[in-house]
Amino acid sequence: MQCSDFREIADSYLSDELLIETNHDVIRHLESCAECRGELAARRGLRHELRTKFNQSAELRVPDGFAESLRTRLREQALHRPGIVIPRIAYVGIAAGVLIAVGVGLLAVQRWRAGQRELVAWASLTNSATGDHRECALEHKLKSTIISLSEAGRVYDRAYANVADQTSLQESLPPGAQLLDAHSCAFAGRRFAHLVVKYDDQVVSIVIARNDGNAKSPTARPGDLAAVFTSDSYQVAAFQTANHAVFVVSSLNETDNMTIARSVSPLLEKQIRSGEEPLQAKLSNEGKR
Amino acid sequence: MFGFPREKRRLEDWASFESEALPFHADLYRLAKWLLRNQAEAEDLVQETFVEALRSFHRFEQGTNCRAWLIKIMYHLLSKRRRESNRLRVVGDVDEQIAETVAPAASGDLAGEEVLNALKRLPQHYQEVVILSDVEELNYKEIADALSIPIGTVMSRLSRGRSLLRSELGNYARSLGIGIGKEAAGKKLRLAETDRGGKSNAV
Repeated sequence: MQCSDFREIADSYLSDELLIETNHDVIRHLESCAECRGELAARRGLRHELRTKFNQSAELRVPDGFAESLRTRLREQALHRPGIVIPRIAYVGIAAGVLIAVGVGLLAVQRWRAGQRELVAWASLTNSATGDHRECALEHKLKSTIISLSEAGRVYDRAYANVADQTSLQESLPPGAQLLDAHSCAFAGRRFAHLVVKYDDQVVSIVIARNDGNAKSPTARPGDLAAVFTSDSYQVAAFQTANHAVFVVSSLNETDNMTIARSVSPLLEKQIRSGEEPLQAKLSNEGKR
Repeated sequence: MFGFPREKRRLEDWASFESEALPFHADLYRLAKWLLRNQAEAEDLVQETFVEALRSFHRFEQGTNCRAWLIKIMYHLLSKRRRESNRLRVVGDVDEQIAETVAPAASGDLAGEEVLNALKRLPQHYQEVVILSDVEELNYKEIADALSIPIGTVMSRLSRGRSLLRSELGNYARSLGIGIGKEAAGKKLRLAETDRGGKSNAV
């Protein structure tokens, strides 16, 4: 290595940026060249001088109190910063999500409450029907409220007059069942069409009640004969039309009670619907107007 | 004994940052003050640097040069400031830098601040690499990262910057036993000519 070569790389040597092999070449050269050793010492001295002057410069002196105020500020930030930094736009999304969730929740609660009201109304209607069976068909306590179905059809509910055809009803009953009476009676503030049938020495009541949509069976949709249950120790089968509920109430076993209900339901449904249609059509026409 | 986990973690993080990063505040301040020539702006830049460092301390690789990491952050912030404002001295007029480069050394400063005065007379991009290497003791790669320039540029700037510094020092350098020779004097002349053209070949 020549002295000129050394001077080219002397600073890289001081910065320890040379390859190991080159470092060896430099060291070998320095061992034999006093002038370059002096040059290297001088450059090292200049660096030291530069570093010292720079770090001790009055012009660059760190202001009093700067270190402490910096530390205080950083410490405050380090220990009290929010755990999760949420972009501002995310707040809008979160707020919208919360509003939607609250809205859906309120809607669900509203629907649940409406459902509860319908169930309560259905239970009340069922109790009235079984009460009518007991008070009227079994204990004959409602004689003062009894009127003909034709009259009830004129005064209270057109559908009641439509079920007054006793011949058709008798024909729809299963063998062994006999239609005893067909009338309209009132119980617990409601007026019913009441068809009384005898079957297997048991009195069976077919109670038709007006339902303005407030009461809904939990299991039977309109037109379905699906609700079979017991109420006040009676067997009850029920089905619904748009505005009426029909209950078959007796002390028969479930199968026999259901047999009666199945046998009469097509005819009754047809008769009741024919009484509802003009009203629905009228309402529909009024709505169009 | 049974502190909240998040509070405990924050305390540990702060303790780590305080012991590893905060001791370099003076180095960063001096560098900022040198570059900006304004105390308030320097304080502001250093504070901003440490705030940013604290925020991203989880990305700092333990065992690496924390001072180099902090300087890199500071240069990135400074670069952002440079883009936003032309009033900072570090992006001052090129002619002013050239005038300073070729200005003769004040004879009365030789014994005291002469080294720093000579450094000030270098163009900004030579000052930066010389300070980062010789004062802050960053290696070539760390300087390249901090300044966002290729490592070859760092090496060439260092070579020219040091050579120019030696020539600027003149007699003072010779008193330290450093020969400046014809080569260094020639570099000074070429440097001034190149910078006057607005674009340096020194990189």
